[in-house]
Amino acid sequence: MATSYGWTGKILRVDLTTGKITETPTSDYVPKLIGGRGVAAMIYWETVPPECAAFDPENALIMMTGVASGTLAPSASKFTIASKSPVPVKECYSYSNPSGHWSTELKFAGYDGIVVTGKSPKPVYLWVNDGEAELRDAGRLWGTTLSNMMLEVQNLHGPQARVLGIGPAGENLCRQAPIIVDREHATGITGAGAVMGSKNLKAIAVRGTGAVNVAKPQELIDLWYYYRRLLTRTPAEVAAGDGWPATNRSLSYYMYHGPHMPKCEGHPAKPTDPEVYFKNNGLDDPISLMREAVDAGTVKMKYGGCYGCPVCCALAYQSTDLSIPSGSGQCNDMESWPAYEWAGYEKVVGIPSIWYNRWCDDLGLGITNPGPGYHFYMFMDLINLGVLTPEMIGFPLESAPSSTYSELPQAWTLEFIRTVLEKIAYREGELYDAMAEGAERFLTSLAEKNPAAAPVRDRLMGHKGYYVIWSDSDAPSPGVSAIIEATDLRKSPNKTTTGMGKSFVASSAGLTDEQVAEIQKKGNLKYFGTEDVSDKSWDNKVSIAIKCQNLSTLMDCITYCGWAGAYSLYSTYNPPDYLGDWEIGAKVFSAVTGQEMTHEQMVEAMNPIWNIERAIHVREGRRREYDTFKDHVYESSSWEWTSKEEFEGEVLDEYYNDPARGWDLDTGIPRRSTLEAQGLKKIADELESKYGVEVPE
Amino acid sequence: MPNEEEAAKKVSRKQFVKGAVVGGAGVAATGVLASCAPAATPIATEAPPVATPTIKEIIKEVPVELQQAIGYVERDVETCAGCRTCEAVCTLSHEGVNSPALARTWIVDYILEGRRIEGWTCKQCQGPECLYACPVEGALHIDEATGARVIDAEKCIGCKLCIEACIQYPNSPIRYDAQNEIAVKCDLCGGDPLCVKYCPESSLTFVEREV
Repeated sequence: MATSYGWTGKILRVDLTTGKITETPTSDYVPKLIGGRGVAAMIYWETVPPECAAFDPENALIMMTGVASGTLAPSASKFTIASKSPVPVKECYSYSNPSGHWSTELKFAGYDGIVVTGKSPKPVYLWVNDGEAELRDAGRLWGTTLSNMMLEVQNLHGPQARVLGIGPAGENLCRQAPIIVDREHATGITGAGAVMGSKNLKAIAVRGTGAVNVAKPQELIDLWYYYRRLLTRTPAEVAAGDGWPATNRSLSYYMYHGPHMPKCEGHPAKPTDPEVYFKNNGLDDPISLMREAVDAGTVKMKYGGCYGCPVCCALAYQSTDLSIPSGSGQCNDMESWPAYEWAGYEKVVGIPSIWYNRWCDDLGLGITNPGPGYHFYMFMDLINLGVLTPEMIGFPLESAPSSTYSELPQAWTLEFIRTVLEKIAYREGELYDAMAEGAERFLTSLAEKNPAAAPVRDRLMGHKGYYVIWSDSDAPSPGVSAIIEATDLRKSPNKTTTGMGKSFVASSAGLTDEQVAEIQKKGNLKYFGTEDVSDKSWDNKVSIAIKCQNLSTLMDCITYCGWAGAYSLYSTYNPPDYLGDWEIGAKVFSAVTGQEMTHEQMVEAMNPIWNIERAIHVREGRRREYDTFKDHVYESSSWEWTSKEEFEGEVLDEYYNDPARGWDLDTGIPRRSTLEAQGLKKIADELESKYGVEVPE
Repeated sequence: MPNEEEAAKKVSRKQFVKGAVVGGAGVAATGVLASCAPAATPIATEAPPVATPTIKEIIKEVPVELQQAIGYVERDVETCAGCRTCEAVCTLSHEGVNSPALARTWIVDYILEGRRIEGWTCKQCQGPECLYACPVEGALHIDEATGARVIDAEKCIGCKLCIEACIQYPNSPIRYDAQNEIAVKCDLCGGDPLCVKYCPESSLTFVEREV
């Protein structure tokens, strides 16, 4: 049972090599490190030596819930999975934040986190049930698809057991393989599934009937309602005339309006162009072909939610037709992304994208990185460029794929998609084995053999040395985006910055472009102190980037979802100014723990977490020269207004000198004075004594 | 659901059993008990040595009107998103902790079946088996304002009979609070159920009854 507000008080430690299971107190890390990503970073610092490779038994798989996980805190079902990532060529620390119900169930089972180290001599899975944990034989589960594994585990432990695990891709050490949580969420980007596979750990199933204590339950309940009202209205409020549009459903209704809503006036009945989606952020219907099945009654669709979330962004579909799988997918990861992305491919939209998801899930491949990197698009590009021939891919191409995404080549059939995914997951054949090594390794080796592949590699691999980031960007301005991408562990703060919240305001509240621009000006002024953040200058950009990074870190520590991040800045439903409440993180923290923290204090508490992460990267060899991009990036049109010299010179200087960071200008190592001021003297000492890093004063 | 007539009959059984167990030598019960138990046996102080069919026959004779609840909470599993906000808001508002095991409305989320949901809510039955089964005077009683069948935590002895008597058992929305050794039950939050108010998909609705 709960011992302190928000926390159960125990972190489970599992050594797979010896099979020994122990517990350590959560209070070693909180409240200073808030939770989630902050605690995971500190545990990693203490556990994983810098020379350890991602697939070494010494690497740790750290699963850490946030302080608000397992409470009613809105959209707070996320948790952090951190480890040394096998994805970049320079393997380094990274983390990911999947959501679902697993983190909540773990708290109800009596644990705040699980740290897995070592390597089991044979395949096992971990079963955590109400304060007890045991390793069980998974010989029969090894090699099975994710769905089959979950079926077996839930047959044994009941449908209320929440399961995270890996598919064949993780077992076969495909470097980008994610851990799939609850079958509909994944640890994007970092390759944690491959780390799990290297440990012979197939799954972690949890079930709990315990409780989580909350300091101010009524305040938390009110906060949830307050947050919901930033998004939408209840039926009663709509009936009373308070609200537009008249909906009584979750926010996802706005997003997809698939099964529930008749054709929305003024929007295309059928997707025409991917740009339509990106412009309107989802107001065209991604599942029109599904609608035939829905209308015929063979598929039932609805929304699915993570624990305690007012958004409910997962799309779930129950099928009685064997040609369409039952399943569900999270808003931006599993299901709807390809539906949107393929909105331009008329023949692939809907049902094939659901199969694509099902196979990605079952094989344990993340949908955004099953192929050579970012999307199937890259695969298509490589075919278009003639780098990949039918002989190489082992599949006849009946017609040449088009370079635009509007025409679908006949070859892109279900069979083709499935074959490619399976070959990657099982590492079959030279090409697919190379693809399983991850985008960076694959494209680099491909470009060495065939220079025609270089443009594709360059488009993806912009960062110098640490490719654990997305290649696109959603930050407030090119300048801010550049700073974030250059200095981050992985690019994550997109939703906290401007994009999503603002876009959904636009699409849901039915505003014009001019109105949205006005709203954004007000938002920028309130949040960043200046009306225009997208101007082509470096003024204020460092402080804005740091604000974005700290806000994002705050999300990962509480831990709340990007949705909450988005609506903390811009609210769909808060006229007249449509601004959100970015203090929601501090409010949640105070309600859950009873410890009063202002928004400013919370954001400041992120600085030591940033410096722990920085110290980890420094320990693993990162220095100033790696906080930059490859030369071709600076040559792109988006850099015309500035130069490599300016960015790598005074801009990085300003970033390093900011009190929030306090890094040495020559090396990028956190200064001793910074670390000590942030209560991290231990880290400074250990950097010098244990790891031979000279820490500048 | 049992009809009104049947419901009415049962309440007197409740009164009868209540008298037999708690009162021990309840006036109404004594004669009956004496008639169906051996004459030499003293009145039971533990489990009542009651021949149930006999009692059922007897209580048929004593119809009593039960106050009906103003309504009940119903879940549409077709739209339920499985977010479990209802569970959380229920125990946070009642117990001040988040403990789904105590939530008076709860679900099982079959993720592998496209998030098929099974869910249970208290129907505030017109013929409440839980109320009939409760052996303690006033422990499971009818709230005067809402007509909800509610549990008095002070009086509940944690015998779990109500939980097992529920027509939805074994998926009873009456839950057992092991820490306090009492049963907990939907009280309609005094007439404005929070689970309904907070459901993001409006899957939970408050169905009003004509009283």
